[in-house]
Amino acid sequence: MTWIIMLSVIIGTLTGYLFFPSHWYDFTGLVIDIGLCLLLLFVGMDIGKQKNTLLEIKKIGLGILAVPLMIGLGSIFGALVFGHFVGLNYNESGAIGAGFGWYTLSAIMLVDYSSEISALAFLTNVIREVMAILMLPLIAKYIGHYEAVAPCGATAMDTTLPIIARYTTPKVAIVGFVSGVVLSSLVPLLVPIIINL
Amino acid sequence: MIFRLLLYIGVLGIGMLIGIYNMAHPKLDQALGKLQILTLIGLLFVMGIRLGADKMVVSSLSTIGFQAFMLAFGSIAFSVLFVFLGRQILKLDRRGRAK
Repeated sequence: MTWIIMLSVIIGTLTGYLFFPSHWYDFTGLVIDIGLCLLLLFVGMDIGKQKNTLLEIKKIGLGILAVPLMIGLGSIFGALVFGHFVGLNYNESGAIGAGFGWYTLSAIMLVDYSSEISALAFLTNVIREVMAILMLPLIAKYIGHYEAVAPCGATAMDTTLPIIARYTTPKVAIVGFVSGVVLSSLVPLLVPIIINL
Repeated sequence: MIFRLLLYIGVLGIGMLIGIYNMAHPKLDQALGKLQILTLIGLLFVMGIRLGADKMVVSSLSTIGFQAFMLAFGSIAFSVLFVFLGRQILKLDRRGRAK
């Protein structure tokens, strides 16, 4: 299954690069929206069938916020450390890390600061999403289920949620969704704050 | 952003209600796993197409690709590590259940 995921992304990327007519680009956005809604519906049905899940989530309560908190801190800290090695200022690498995988928004918010940093934020967060998709099954298997949510960051509420649901339990999928929502709402707050430090 | 969030929560919620009250056709229920995989493959393929067709991504890969890869890797590695440490503190097992 991990191979199928990798191949889908790789073959898709090659198709897009080599053959895809550029005027179809906008159309792919619509296809993704529809596909995503379908998948979320299926994931919801799966979660709903496991009646204990919702009770378990209730039991966790506000502790559920510990997951996005650790993911957020880790993302920013990791970007600071690795950004230092590739010669970036702390405010720049921190702000890019605070994009949490949401490439469009983090790039847009950094355009005024510098177009180079904006492009870097875009590419970093694109790579983060692709790496998350590829690494998630392995992390879920060998490290842990909550850890598998970590690479996804903000995307855990949409694009990577189906993969979380596939490789972990319905409970972790809900925690992942909540974590994605929390991190997504933090992106527009944290990126401008950190870049101005 | 708000619209999208509401849409996702809405669709997920509708799915959960269908699941909770067993409103889906049994055949659909059985095929749920396969349908998820097929939709997922299609979605990832189209996402790949968007990346490959995006001139900004492709042209910036050669110049800032290494920096971007390092930042993405750093964010992922430390977020996994922090969640791992949090899980140890809260004494949860690999699947997130109390030990």
